[in-house]
Amino acid sequence: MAQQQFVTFWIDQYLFGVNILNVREINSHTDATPVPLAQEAIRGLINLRGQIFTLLDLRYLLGLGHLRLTPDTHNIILKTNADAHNGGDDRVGFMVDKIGDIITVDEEELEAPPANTSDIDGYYLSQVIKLPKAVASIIDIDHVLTMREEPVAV
Amino acid sequence: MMNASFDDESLIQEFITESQEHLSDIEPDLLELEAQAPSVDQEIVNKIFRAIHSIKGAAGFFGFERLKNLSHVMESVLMRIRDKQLTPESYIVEPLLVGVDLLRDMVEDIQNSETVDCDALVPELDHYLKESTKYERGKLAGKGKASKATATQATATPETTATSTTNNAEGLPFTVADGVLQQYKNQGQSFFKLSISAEKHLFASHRTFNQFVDLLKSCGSFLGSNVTVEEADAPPEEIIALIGTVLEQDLLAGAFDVPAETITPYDSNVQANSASVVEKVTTGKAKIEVAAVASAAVTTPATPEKKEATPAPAIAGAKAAGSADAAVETIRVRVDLLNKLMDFAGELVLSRNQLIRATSQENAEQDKEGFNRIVQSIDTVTSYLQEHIMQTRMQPIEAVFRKFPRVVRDLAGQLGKKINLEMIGQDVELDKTILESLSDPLTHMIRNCCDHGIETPEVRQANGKVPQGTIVLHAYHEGGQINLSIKDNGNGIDTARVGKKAISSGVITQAEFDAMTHQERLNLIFHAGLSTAEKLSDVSGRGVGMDVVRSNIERLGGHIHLESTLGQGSTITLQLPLTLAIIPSLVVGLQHHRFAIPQVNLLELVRIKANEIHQEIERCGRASVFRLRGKLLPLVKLADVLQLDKLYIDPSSGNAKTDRRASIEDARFQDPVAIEQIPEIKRTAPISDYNILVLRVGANQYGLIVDEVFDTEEIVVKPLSSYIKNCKCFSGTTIMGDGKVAMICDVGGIVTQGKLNFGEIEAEEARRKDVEAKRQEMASLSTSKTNHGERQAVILFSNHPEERFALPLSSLLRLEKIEIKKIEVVGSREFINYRGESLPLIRLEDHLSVRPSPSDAEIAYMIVPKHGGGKAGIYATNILDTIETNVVLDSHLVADSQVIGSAIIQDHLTLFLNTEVLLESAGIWLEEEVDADTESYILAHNHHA
Repeated sequence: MAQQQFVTFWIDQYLFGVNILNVREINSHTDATPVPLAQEAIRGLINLRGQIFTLLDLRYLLGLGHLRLTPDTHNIILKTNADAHNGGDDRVGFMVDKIGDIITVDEEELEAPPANTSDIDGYYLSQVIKLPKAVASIIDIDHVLTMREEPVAV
Repeated sequence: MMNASFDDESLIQEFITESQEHLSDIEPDLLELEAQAPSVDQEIVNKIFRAIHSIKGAAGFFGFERLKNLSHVMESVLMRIRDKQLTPESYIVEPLLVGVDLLRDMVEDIQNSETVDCDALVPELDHYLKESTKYERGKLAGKGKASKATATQATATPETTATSTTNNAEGLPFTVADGVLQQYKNQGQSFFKLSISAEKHLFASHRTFNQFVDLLKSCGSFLGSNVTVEEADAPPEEIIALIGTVLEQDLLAGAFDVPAETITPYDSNVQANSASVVEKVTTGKAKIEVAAVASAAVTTPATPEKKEATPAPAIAGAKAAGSADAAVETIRVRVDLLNKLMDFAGELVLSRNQLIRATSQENAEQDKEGFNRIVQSIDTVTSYLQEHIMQTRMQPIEAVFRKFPRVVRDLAGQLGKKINLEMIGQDVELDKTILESLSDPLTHMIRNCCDHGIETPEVRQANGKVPQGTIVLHAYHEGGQINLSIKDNGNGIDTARVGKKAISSGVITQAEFDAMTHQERLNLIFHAGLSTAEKLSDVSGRGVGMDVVRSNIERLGGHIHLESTLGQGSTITLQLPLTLAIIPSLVVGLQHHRFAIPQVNLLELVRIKANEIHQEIERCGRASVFRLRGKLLPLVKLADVLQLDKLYIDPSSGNAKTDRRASIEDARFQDPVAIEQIPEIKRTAPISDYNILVLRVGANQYGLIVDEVFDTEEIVVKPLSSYIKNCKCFSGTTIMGDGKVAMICDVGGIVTQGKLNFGEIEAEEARRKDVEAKRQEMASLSTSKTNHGERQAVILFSNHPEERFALPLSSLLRLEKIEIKKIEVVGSREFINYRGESLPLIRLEDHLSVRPSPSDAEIAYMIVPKHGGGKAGIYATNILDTIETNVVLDSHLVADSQVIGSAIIQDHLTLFLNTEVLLESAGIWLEEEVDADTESYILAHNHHA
């Protein structure tokens, strides 16, 4: 039975997950350089070992308002296929409120997101996993990377 | 087909590089041959012959049959030229040039070299190998391209027919080369056949055939039709056309405004058809002519015709990038340069070892001196390394220029014009990446010059010009940038026509046009979708062009400027950075942000103290301006442009607070009471000073206000993430010394974002220059009448309070305030310690018969003249003023040779000094030879200015 691993994390009060194969690394460089005039969902730029990464505010994308820095804030840096998105060598990651566990689930446990994702933007979700205590929503990385132009109205 | 095993990629790669070099050498040589005909320079022929021969040899070795065959025929023709059986006239050189193009095509895409269509050319060249054809050449030469193709079709041997790649599939009354189809197919295009009625579908909706073709091109690539070029104005009733597009079939009908049933998918089946021979007996004349057009499109890849046929420049770019990936690029580097790099790498290793040892030593902390030495050596080695590695990427611009003689020659022939191309500064070096992306825009502009700029010989003669037009391509360094100008002495740009076109296509309104300046009207040609060519030619005039050129140049961090006078010609100037990788820049601070401003754009820095802002900055409507030496400099605040919240960093606590200061600019129009209410600290603290960066964009200048100015730094440019590419204000990112990321500002983007309108400023500049020129003319007139007197800026100062002296401002290096007690005396000489150097101080009373300066002063001034290279200072008690005045010198009062004359300035007698003689008499050794002719005093200083 095929299994998949997910990195889980918290944004606001919700549990999310992202396929571990999409994750390059997790770190806590939170002193990003903001970019004036950029889209609101862009939190800023950080330098990781001489390469510049763009940090997205996933919380904002999901329609939960702007992220606030806390000691728990972490960045999940994504592995992207350089050519697949926006045609460039895009190095990108997003900020989350808190990192959770890494979970391993059978593929069969993955379900389509419920029809009534009310206060978060369902566009960025691909699936959900039922965990004993909570439901983790799996983030659709492709949708995050291609970001909808319009800010989300929820 | 290919017997070579591709195991040894590197050998093939080498072959490609070498062949490309050979081919680029051959082209100018062929042109040279043509120019010299009928005499033949054996040297050149041999050179070309050897180059072709080595390509042929290698091609045979690798098993590239077509490459070998074509080069073989070309070689044979050259042999006949060498043996004086043929003279290299145009009609012979032409197919050879086409052959060079084909060879280049094959070499560039070596894996597909077998698919390149050279069936038209080989027999034609063969033709010249037969003895008898010697006498028929006149006939052949007269007919041009179409007839060549006809000849090809006619003389095609059964063997070539069998391998023909020209397919003529069902239902098309014309042929399209498979190579072309394959190429578009590779781009993911599918093909559709359109059969429409000229009457019903075109004329009924008031469209001409050419317009319709343009429409087709806007949605994909137009591959051919049964309508010949000549017939375009009166097409036959039934028009059949083949297009390639990525769009779906059902979208096309709507896009082209034709009924859906007129569009049918056309299955090219390229792969299968390529060898199959379909009968070619169709509509005779039309067929062959279109075939000729098609083959012309294949055989002249250097002309952008082919490129324009692709749906959008972006796709062409992507394609180019894609093919670049396929083959690993190589670059040739001089061995001595490589050796130097090796040396530096060695030194770097040594320094690293020293550093490791120094840090591992126990007393490392005490040995600061040792550390400094190591850091210094690493610093030096790094900058040497950087400089030399950069050099490996620098290539002479000739690499791009080289192809233009051919382009101009071909175009001149096609257009029936006489054009002479002059190229200056081929050895100017540019970064390889810039060079490569410069090629297309330059070609486009050269073609524009040939097509629109230069008139036909008849028109030129009618306008009293020499029949031969001239295009001058000039590359030169200026201010850390490369300038490239393309100047033609053709007809110039008719702004009225541009305007008419712009108005009719809805880009602007008549009223807007009327309000425009000449420059703004000229700049309309950079607007997308405008073409003023009266008729479409295959050379240019489809209105996709100058806008792409401009955006390409700007993407490189360059700037484009256009000047044109109707009837006299146009000049396009490009300013380009030398390199994109590492650039010197000034780091500035704004609130908590840091930005890097490229140094090439920076002219100077001006700081206005907080308490002087309201006097120095003036308002013009809502805009702030600053008078910089008499010129109005528009000011923008970076914070405003970037739409940052107005923050005020408290100088005492360092906390950011919302900036509630009312604008403290220009108190003259404000309530002084309101100003007073701003706390003193906010009005006078250094943090409230205005730091103005005077920046230049092309010919324009503006002032950018930032909070803080840090230091200049060499920064490594990293591309902007594609997530933030919409921000025009930034051109890239970089990593600062502390590891944080900073944005690199795009000086041109700030202009756009800040909505600075430079069109009018340019006009104003021109007006001011006019006024200045007139004034100088007047001045020179009056000078010639009175034989003395010239307007110049002079500084007035005193030694004894009642005696005044003057020096031209242009002869001064610096002015310094000095403290008397810091003057050191050695014997009878005095010195002042200035920037670690002892400058001898000259007192006027020691060398002139003037009264001494008062001895009770505490502060005095030192004037450092340019003469003597700033190695001495002249003592002055007080600096009185600087004025601009018409100096009319009177020399009969002068007793000393150190004084050249006197004049009445501000109602006082003022002595004008000669710094050379003064310094000489003070025993200061002058480093440079200077003109000691006192009569030419003012002129000499003008020269310095």
